[in-house]
Amino acid sequence: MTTAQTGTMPPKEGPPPLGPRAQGYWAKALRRLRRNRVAVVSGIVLLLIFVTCFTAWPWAAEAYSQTHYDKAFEGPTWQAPLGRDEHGRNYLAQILYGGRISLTVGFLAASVAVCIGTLWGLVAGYVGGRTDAVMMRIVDVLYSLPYILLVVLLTLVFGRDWRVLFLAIGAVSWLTMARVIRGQVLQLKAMPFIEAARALGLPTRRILLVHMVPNLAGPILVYATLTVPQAILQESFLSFLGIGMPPDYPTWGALSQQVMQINTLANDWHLILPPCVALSITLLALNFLGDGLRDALDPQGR
Amino acid sequence: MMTFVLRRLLVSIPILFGITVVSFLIVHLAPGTPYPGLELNPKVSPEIRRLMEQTYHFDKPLIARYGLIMKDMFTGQIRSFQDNERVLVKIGRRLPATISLNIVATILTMAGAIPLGIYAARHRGTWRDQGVTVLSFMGIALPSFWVAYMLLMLFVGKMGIPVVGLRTFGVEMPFGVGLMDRLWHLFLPAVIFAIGGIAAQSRYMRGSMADAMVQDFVRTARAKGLSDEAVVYKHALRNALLPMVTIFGLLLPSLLGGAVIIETIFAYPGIGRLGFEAVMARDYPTIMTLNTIAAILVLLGNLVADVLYAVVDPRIRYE
Amino acid sequence: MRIRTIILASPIVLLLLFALAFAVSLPFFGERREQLVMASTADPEILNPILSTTAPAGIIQSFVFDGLMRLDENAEVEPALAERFELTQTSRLYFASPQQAAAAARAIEAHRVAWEELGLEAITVEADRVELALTMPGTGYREALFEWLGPIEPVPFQRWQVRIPPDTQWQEEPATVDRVLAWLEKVQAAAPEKPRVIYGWKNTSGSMEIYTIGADGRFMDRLQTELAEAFGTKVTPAEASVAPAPATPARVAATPPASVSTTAPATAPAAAPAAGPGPGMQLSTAGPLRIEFDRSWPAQDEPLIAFYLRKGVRWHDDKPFTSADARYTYEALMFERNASPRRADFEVIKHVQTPDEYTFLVRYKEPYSPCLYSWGMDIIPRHLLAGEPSLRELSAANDFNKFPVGTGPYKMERWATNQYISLVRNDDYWEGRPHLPRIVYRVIPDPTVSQMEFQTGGFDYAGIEPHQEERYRKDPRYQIFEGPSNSYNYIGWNLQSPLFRDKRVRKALAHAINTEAIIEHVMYGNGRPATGPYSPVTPWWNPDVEPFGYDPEKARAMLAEAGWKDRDGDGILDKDGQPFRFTLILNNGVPVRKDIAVLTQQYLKRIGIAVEVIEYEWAVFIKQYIDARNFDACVLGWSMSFDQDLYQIWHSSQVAVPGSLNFVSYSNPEVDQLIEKARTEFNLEKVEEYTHRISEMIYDDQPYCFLFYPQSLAAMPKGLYTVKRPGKDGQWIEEPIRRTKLGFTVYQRWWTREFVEAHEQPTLTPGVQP
Repeated sequence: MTTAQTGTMPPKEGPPPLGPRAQGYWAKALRRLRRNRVAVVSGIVLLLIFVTCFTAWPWAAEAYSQTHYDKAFEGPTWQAPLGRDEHGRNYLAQILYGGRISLTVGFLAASVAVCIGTLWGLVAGYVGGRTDAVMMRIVDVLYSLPYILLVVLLTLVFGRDWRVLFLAIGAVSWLTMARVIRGQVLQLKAMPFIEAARALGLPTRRILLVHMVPNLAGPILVYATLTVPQAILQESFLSFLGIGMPPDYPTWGALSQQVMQINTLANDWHLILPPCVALSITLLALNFLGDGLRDALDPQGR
Repeated sequence: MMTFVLRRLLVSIPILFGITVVSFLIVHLAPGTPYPGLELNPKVSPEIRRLMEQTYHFDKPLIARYGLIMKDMFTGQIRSFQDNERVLVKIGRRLPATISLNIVATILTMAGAIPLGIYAARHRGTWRDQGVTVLSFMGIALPSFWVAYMLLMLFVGKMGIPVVGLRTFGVEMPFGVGLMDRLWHLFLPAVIFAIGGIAAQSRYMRGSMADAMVQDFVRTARAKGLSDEAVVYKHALRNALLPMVTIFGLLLPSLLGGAVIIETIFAYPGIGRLGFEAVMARDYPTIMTLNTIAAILVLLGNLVADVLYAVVDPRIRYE
Repeated sequence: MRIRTIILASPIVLLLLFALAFAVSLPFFGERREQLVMASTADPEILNPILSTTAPAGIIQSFVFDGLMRLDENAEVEPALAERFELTQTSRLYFASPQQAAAAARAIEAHRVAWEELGLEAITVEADRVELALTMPGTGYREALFEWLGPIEPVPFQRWQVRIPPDTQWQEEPATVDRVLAWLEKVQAAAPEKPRVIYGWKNTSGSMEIYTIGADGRFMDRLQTELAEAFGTKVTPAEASVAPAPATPARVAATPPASVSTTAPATAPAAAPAAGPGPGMQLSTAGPLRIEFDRSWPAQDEPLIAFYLRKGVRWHDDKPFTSADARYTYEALMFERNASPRRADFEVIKHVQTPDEYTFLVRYKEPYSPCLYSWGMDIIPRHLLAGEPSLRELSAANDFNKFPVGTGPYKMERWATNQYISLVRNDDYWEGRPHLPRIVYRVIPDPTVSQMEFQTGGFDYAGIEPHQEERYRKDPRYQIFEGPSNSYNYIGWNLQSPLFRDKRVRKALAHAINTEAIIEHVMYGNGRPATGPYSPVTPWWNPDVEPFGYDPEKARAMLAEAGWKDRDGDGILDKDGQPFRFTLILNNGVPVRKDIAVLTQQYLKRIGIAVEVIEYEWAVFIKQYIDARNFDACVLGWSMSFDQDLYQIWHSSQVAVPGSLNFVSYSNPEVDQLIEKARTEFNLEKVEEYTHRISEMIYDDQPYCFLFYPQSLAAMPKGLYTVKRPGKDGQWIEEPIRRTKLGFTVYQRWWTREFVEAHEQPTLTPGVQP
C-alpha cells in the first residue's frame, strides 16, 4: 500500500469552492488560524527549527567537515552535546547541517509539486471534456505506478544529485494537488462570476489568472504545506534504500538510518534519537500547521 | 452504463500504450547494464561484454528493443534478464506473501481507523478529538523504517523473539502451529503498515462521519427519538462508509506497489522488493512488466470503484 | 447494536488473535543445532557456474559443484575431481627448407646430454618442421635451444586477427566465419609451400584468428584479396577497392623489424626484414574484413594438460561423472549463445579430447600458465544439459539453473525465493560424508537487521565492518577472523595527463599521502600498506618492497626538483605558469573510497596541490570517465584472482584497446616482458622471481598510488564449530577453525559441532565409498 506510507488517501474531489474572493477573506482566515492554538504552536516551533538550522549553517558545515578520528564514538561532552559519530564528527553539527538539507529538499520538492499540480489541475478542469478525462486518467495511472520505483528510476536517469532528488520527489508528489485543484476549478467554473466573465468574452488567460487563481490560493497553500512533510518523509525512505541524497548531504532521514546501522544494539540513545526526533517534530508541526490552515481557509470543509 | 464501461476501456488503451512507452524510455535511459560488476573484471574481455550486449539485445536500436519487449510481454513469454525465468512466474511466486501481508494490514487498518474516526467525529472539537488527531499525525510523522527498527530492537534485540521472515527460521513445526507462526510473523510488518494507514484513514473516516451526522436524515432519525448510539451506528455510519468503497478500488493496484521498506527490514519476500531489486539490477523486463500490470490494475480498479459507487448510490448515473 | 459491537470488538479480537499465534508458536522457537546457517543480503541470481556472476551464487555453487582442480588453504592448486594431472608441451619449429630442418635436428641431437635439463624428451623431423616433445610447458627451453641451432633460424610463427567490421552483412550471417575457415583449409591444402596458413581459429561468430608461418605483408594482402573475392563480392556487391597490391612491399620494408614482438626477443633470431610485418600494421582498411598482424613467435608452442579423473564419483542424481562432463563444461563455456562471463581463461584452448572415460586432454594454443587455476571451474553435468538450445534458454521442464545438480559435498534441497536456500549433505561425496546434515543460506536484506539477527543467533557468522571490530573484540562471546584480503585500494594517476607523466611527481605524491593515517582513519587500522599489484596472500607479492612512507618535506623537494614551485605565492605549486590542480574522481556509494578521496585532498593541499573531488554513479563513472580515459586521477580498488597474470591491467598492449583495464595508460617495456614471461612460465619458482620483480618495478614507477590491502573481518560465536577434515594419509584431522590465505571458510564442508558429533553414527574413513 504505497499510499499508506505517505499517509494521505487521495481525495477524489477537493473541498467545496470558496466562492468569489470575499472582502476580508484572508483577514478572517488569519483570525481563525490564530485561534487554533495547536497550529500557532506548530508555526512557532517550525520557525524556531528553521532559524536554528539556517543560522547555524556556517558553523555546522565547518564542524561537519572536521573529523577527529581519535574521538570516534565519544559520548556527550560540552563541546559536542550529542556526542560524536564513527568519524568523530560533532553530532549536533550534523543534526543541524542535516536539518537544513532536509528542509530545503522538502520545500523545493513541494514547490515543484505545487507548480506541476496546479497547472495540470487548472488545465484539466478548465478545458474539460476529453482532455480532462485523459489528463485525469494519467494521474490515476501515475498514482498506481510504484512511486518509489519511479523516483529510483528518475535518480538513475539523471544521476544522483541533490537537484535531481528534489525534482524527482516533486515529480511524483503533484498528483494529489492536481486532483484537488481540478475539483475546485470544476466547481468554480460553474460559479456565476466565472460564467459572467466568459459571457463577457474575456480572454482565457485573464479568466484563469485574475478570477481563478486567486480563488485557488487557499487550497494551494493548504496542500503545499501538507506536501512538504511528505517530501521530507519520502527523502528519508530513499535514504533508507541507499539512494537518497549523496553521502555528503546527511539528511535527517539518512542520519536516522545510518546511526542504526552503526550502533545496532549498542544503545547509544544520544545518537539514535536526535535525528528521528527532529524529523518527527518537524513533520508533526508541518502537518498541524497544514491542518490549521485548512480549517482557517475553508470553514465549510469541516 | 455499458457504454460508459466500454468507453472507459477504450480510453484506457492509449493510456496503457503511453505507460509502456514512458516506462520503457525511463528504464532504458538510465545508465548501467544488466550485467554490472563485469566492467572492471580482468577476466572479462571486451569481446565477452559484446556477447552479453547481444544476448540482451543492447546492440539493437531502441525501437527494436521496445518491439521485442512488447511482443514478449503480450505473449506472456517475457523473461527476466537476471535468471531468464519468466517474469510472470517470478511475480506469481512473490504474490502469496504480498497478498497476505496486504490483507492483514488492511484489516488492521480498518479495525483501527473506523472506531477511531467515529470516536473523533462524535467528540468533535473536544480534547478527545484533538487527541485522536495528534495520535494520527504521529503515525504519519514517524518514518516507518525507524519504528520498525525500534520494534526489532525490542523484540529481536532485547527479547530474542523471532519476527524476521515469513516464518520462524530453521524450526520444523506441525501444520497448525506453522500457520500460527506465520500469522505471528505477519504481526509486526502489518502493524507498521497499518500505523500509517490508520493515521490517514481515521482522518478520512472522521471527515465523512462528521458530514453524515449533519445530514437531514440523521437529524430526522434523531428527532424520532432514536438513541444516540443507534443514530450514529445505524444511520450515519452507513452513509459515512460509502466513500470508503473507493478505497477498495485503490487497494488492488497498491498490492503491486508493495512496501519496499517493510519488506526489506522484515526480510519479507514480497513484490515491493522484487521491483526494487529489478531496478537496481537493471532487470528491464521485470520493471516493465510490473509497471504495466500496475497500470492495468489501477485502470481496472478505478473503473470498478466508479461502478461500485453507482451501484451503492442510486443517485449517481453514468451515461 | 451489533454493528457497534463488531466495530469496537474487532481491534481487540485481532490483537488477541496475534497474541494467541505468538503463544502457540512460542514453545517452538528453539535453537537449530543440526544446520550451519549463513546469511547474506541477496539471493543468487542463477545457480549455473557457466553463467552466474554474483558472490551469493559463488557461495552456493562452491557446495554443490566441484572443479577438476581447487585451491588449498595456501591458495595453491591441488587436484579435486581430477585425481592427478600431467603437463607436457609439443613445440614445433619451422624452417625455410627440409634441409635446414634436418640440419637443425642434427644440431639438437648433438646436445642430447643437455636434453633432460630442458625437459626435452624427443624430437621428430617431418619435411621442414622439427617437433619437440617437452615435459615442462613454457618457453624456457628456447634460450638454450637457439644457442645450439646457431646460425640456423626458424621461420616465425604468426598470429593475425581477422576483423570483421560491425554493421556489415558479414556479421549478420553467423556462418561467415565458418565459411572463411573452410576456405582457409582449402588454401592451406593447395599451397603447402612457405609462407603458408597453419590454421584458422574461430573465436566467436564475429571474430577469428589466422595462424601462419613466415607470412609477410604481401602474402597476407593476397590472402585478404582472395578472401574478399571469395566472399566479398558476393556479400557486399559494391565492394571493389581492396588494398592496392603494389603499395605493400614499400610499407613492409618501412616497418622496423626490431619491433616484431616475441616472448624472448633477446635470444630469438630476428625474423628476416621482408617477413616481419610490424605490429598493428594494417593491410587494408577498406573491404568487408581486415587482417591485422597480432604477434609472432619463433616457435609454435602448444602445452597439453592431461587430467586423470577420479573414478567412482557420482552426480547427485547418481549418474557417473566422466570425462564427457568435463568436455561438455568446456563446450558450454565457449558456446556463444551462453555468453559466459568466464570464457576468457578458456579462449587460449585449442581443443580438448577425451580418449577414454577418465582421461581429459586439454591442448593450448600457446603457453598460458594460469590455466591450472582456471580448471577450478565448476564442472556441470552433460546428461542434464546437452541438447538444450543454450544454458540461458533451458526448456521449461529443466530447472537446472534454479536447482542445480553437481558432484559437491552438499545437494540442493530447497530454494525459497528471497528467504533461504537449504542444502543437504551428499552422503556419497567422494571425499567422505560431510558432518553437518544441512547448510542453510539465509537472505536478510537489511544490514542493520542482519546484525541484530546475528547477535541473537539467527545465523552463525557475519562479516563485520572495520568500525565494529573493536566492539566485537571486546565481547567475550565472539572470535574474530581477520587477514589480508586478495585486493587493494589505490589512486590511479592518468599517465596521459601532463601532470603525472613525470615519475618524480608520482613518487613525490606517494610521499605526500599518508597511507598509514588513511588506514588508521578509514579502516580503523584494519589494513596494511600496499606495496604493489599483488596481495600478500599470494606468493607473487614481494616482501622486500618497502612502502614509501609519509614524508611531506621530501615530497616538496622532489616536486621542486621536477619544476613544481609556488612561484606566484597563491599557495598552489605551479610550473610554466600552470598551477598544480586536478580532479580526483570516484564512484558514489562506497564510503571508504569517499573518505580516501577527502583525506588525499587534505594531504595534497598541505604540499600545495589543489584537488577537486567528484563522485559519479558507477555506470557513468565507468563509461564516460574510466573507459574514455577522461580523468586526471581516480580512487578505485582491485579484487584479484589468485593467479599471477597481470596482462589485462598492466601490459602496454592494453593501452589502446577500448574498454580495457590499463586505463592509466601504463607502459614499461621491461614490465611488459616480465608479464609475458610470468604468464608463460610454468615453473612456480621462476614465476615468483618474475612477479617479485614486477612488483618492485611497478611500485617504483607509481602509476597508482598504492594505498592498502584491506583486512577482511568476520565474527563467529566462540567454539561453535570445529573442523574435522580428511588428511592426506586417510586419517581425520581435527582442528579449530582458523583463518588461512583463502579465508576461514576453506574447510567449511568439513565443519562440525558437538551436537552433531554426539548424535551421529561414527563417521567413515575419509575417501572410502560405502
